[in-house]
Amino acid sequence: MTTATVTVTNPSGIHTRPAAMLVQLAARYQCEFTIGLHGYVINGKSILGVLTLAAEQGAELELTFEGSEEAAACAAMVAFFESGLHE
Amino acid sequence: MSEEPAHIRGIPASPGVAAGPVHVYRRVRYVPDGKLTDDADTDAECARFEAASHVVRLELDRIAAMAGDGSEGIAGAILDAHIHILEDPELRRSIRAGIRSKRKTAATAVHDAFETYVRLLGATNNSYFQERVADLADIRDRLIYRIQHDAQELALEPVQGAILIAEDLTPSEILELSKQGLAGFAVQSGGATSHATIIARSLGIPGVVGCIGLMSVETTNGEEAVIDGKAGDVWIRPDGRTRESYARLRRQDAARRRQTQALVGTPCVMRCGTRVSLRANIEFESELGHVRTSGADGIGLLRTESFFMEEGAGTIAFQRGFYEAAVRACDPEPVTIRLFDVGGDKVTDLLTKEANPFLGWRGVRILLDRRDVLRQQLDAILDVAGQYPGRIRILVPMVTEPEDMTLLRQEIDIVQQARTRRGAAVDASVPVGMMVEVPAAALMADRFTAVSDFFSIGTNDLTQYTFAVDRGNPKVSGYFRHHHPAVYRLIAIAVNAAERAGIPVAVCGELASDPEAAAILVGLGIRELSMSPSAIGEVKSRLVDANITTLAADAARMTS
Repeated sequence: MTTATVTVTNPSGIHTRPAAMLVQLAARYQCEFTIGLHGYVINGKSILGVLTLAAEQGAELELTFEGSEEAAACAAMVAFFESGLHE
Repeated sequence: MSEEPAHIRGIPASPGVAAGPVHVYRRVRYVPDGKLTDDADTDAECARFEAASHVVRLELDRIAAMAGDGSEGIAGAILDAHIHILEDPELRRSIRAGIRSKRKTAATAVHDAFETYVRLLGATNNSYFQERVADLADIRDRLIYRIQHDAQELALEPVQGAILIAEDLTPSEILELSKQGLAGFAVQSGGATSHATIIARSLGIPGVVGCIGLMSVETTNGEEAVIDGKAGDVWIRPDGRTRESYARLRRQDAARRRQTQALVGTPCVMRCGTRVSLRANIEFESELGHVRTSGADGIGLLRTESFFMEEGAGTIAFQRGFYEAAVRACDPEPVTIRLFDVGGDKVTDLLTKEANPFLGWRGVRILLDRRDVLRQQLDAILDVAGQYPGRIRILVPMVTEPEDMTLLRQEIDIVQQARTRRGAAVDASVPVGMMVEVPAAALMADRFTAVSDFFSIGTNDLTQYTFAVDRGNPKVSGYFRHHHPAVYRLIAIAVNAAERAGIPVAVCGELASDPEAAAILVGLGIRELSMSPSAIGEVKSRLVDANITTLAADAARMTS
């Protein structure tokens, strides 16, 4: 299992467009991927799950990866968050 | 049947006036009947869901393809998200489980699976996420319709030239309706940030949302309606006077649009042959498409504040990416990048809060104290400049003394030398100019021409400092008057100094986007105006009909 903590930096939070990009990125990897916020955990490959996080700027998210390619998936996801969700 | 005119005031959603016959659109909402299927039917119900889902996918792909043109990519991105929702693994798992384990019909299973997410999103305290419920309902209703109609595609009734009246509209509906020539719309629910509204704006279809009571107005298809998307007014059965005044407004609008549209591809050349560059003010990457569509001569002010003090390894690369995207968006015209222009409130905590932030630590005053931040930004800018020589200009904010510029130019030299040492590409002649926004700098402009390659006049701050007024404060905002001789006289001083020294001078404040003020500025000798892309058309149509002798005379009267 690989885990990472990331912060949402873009002003409008994880709205629809970054959510779509996030699940698209997650779908490239085989491993299970979950995102937790204040103990609420969702499947990171589900755009509806990601939207229901309603993650706003400053939210700290717990990312967990389990299965094949988990390290690569984690690195890619952390880079995506650090880029400000490509906003 | 009522004969009386009905007037409803809603929320302005998409500007413009539209008139036409009413078309009432009532979507039939599925209400689950709670019927269960026999065990033997679950396979058939699953197959119905899969078939419907396949057809909806094809339909969304088709709408996404037609969204490709005319809305600057906004609609495409929203449709893309809709496709992700349709393919959502959790959603599909929950629908299949509803059919298999709970023996629900396909329609009920779809309805219930969406309902969970509708409740979760509706429960957030953020109106943005609440409005996404409309996106979910869009896909849910498409799926249920297909299930009930044996996977047939949904056909909307033709609405060419009509004003659509509806409870609400989904993004894909507005797209399909726009292709059929919808004139305008008024909906009872919805806010100004719903996806349907954003798409309508990007397509230029006038619309009003949040029209409380709209669906209770007695009306039938074919009756006349007028909507004003800028004011938020909806009229059903307007009386003669209302009709006439809107018809006049529409004629003026249409004439103006035709005129400005015809000018998009042409340079701004006045009757007398004087050429004026009209450039775009840009802050976000998503706005870059407007540079071309507005016919701007490049970017006269690229704001960079959104990257200020952002942490993380990707940030510098991302900053660089933004500058490069800007350069590419307006090839072969130049891009003027303004260094971080923020106030102390962005850098300090509450304990060191300044009593007068607008007269405090801001702009170049911060940059010279935070050389780490400054050098990072300069390196990102100069990297792009090295790759696109001659295309980038650097603009320094909040300059008060010539020494500010001298020190800043030394920093640029340090970064350029480091780049040369490591063999990176360098544009050795990147122009470095200053914002003229502090009255002291305007009055002493001739002392700055030796340290500044160009001037860019920021009229918002210049006005604020000249009149000692914060226009964000409603008690005194009446004193904020940028279309005023005091401001024009300061500008004239800067223009004269620039002309004597032979350096270019531009105006990048809001004043430049007002056609009458733009005319005065040109009369004062300004040949470069930078403004919001949406203002370029009107300023251009004012200037092309003018000649410089008249404008110079107007300007002289204004400043005498």
